[in-house]
Amino acid sequence: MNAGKMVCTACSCLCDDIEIEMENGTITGIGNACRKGSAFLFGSQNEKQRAGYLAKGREVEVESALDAAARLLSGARRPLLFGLDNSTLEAQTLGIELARKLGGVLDDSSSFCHGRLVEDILAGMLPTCTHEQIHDADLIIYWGANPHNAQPRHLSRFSLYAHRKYHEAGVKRHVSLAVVDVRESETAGVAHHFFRVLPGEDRDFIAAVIEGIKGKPVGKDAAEFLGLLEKSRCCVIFAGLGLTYSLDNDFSLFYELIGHMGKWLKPAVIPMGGHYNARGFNHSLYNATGYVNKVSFAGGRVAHGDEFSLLEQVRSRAADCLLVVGADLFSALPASLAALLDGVPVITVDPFYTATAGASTGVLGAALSGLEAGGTAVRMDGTVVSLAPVKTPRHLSDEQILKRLLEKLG
Amino acid sequence: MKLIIVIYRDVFLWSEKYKKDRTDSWEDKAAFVRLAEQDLKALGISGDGKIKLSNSVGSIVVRALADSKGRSGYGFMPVSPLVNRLTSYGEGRLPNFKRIEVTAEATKENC
Ligand code: SF4
Repeated sequence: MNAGKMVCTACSCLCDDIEIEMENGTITGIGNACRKGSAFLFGSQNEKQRAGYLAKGREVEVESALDAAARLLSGARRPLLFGLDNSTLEAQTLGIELARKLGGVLDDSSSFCHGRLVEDILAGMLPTCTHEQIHDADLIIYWGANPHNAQPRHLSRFSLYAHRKYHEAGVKRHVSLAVVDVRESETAGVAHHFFRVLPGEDRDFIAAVIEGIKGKPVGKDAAEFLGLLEKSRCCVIFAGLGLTYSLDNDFSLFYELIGHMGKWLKPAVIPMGGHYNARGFNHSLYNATGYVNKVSFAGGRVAHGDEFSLLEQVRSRAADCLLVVGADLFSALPASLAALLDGVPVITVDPFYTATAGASTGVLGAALSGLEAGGTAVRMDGTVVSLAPVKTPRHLSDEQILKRLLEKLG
Repeated sequence: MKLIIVIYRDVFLWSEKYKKDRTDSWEDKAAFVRLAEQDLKALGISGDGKIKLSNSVGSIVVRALADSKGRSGYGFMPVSPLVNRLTSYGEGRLPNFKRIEVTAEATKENC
């Protein structure tokens, strides 16, 4: 039976054309999703992989798991709430309220991913556009990004292949695709122009292009890249983690380049976040506090700084209790850093039984957003997308879990 | 031999995590590094050889695969908890996910 269309929440593309076939409440067919999305949606039916309700490592009823989690949180002096990038905007609002009520620290993965770029976009310091505006572009650049693996349908739904003026063959090319990366990736393989930089050398490449703009002689790659920019009237740069890490989160030179480009073309930057609502978290927290991440609510005041990043909180062993919502820290962090969490009680809210859930004192299994729970989310380009579930959940949604925790904390 | 390892995302391995019949082996499946052919040669590795990657935070053994487009001195590994045994974080910087300095040697140890 066709159960209708849903939004896939396996990545920040939030594809809204996913067709679901169901028999007796079980997904039997998925249409339009990529390998990543269909593995995620089919995987949600694998009971062995779903998180249940645990307290002190033992399976309990949902109410007991919520009580145990609330006790841990209320007893903590320096609680840290991390994640919410895979939660709806509604759940994020409650997560912010919970961190505020606890007087805790709140951070998400954007503090070591795209937070800086999104913050500058929200502050109006960095030009951006939506996917719908991509049709104005004559040059699309993926910089330190390989959507083939991270956002597999990005090219076909939102950029090159979705571009109104794109033709496989033609006398004149109206839109060009360029890739700047350390690896000749699959995306580089389909690009019209590929610029290979060595790890950590994006800064040198940007500096060379700026020198070229100023009329100085530069190397072959920088000159070719500059040639593309000079021919363009509208250029969209999809900025990936490769760029963030190569620049070590210092985008000043990149912004200088964007500033130069703005003198003869219309530049726009879209950060290629990974988690489905990472950008939404930045928007939610920015609206609530004026910051996109790394916030403390201790003493009833809002404070912001690097010391409130997850990485610093763990490194300095600052947190005495950790609530992780929709993130797998123990897989994603350097093992030497994750080891510092030894002895710190961790509560995990997640649809899946991740390595972090396995290391947690308390686990609260959640419904899968998009499939089993509704709400709204912000796509990587800033567009708000509504999620309408097509399957009856067996778990509470993360929004319901956070609401119940707030109620229990009084 | 000194190498710089760069982590990248792999959709096939990512999908593996959610497979119904998986036997918790996706970390094993992620146990490989892609190296330039000349580096494999210099290390004396051919076919399905193993390589030990070590640095001050840890050490892992993975399969060494030839990357015809690879650059000498650089290796590429998919994101997984395995490679995080080699990554580290220093105050005020991002973790070194995209630039992990290691010493590489051929080995007969198991992955
Ligand atoms: S591109 Fe992303 S949102 Fe779209 S189907 Fe694939 S995983 Fe899902």
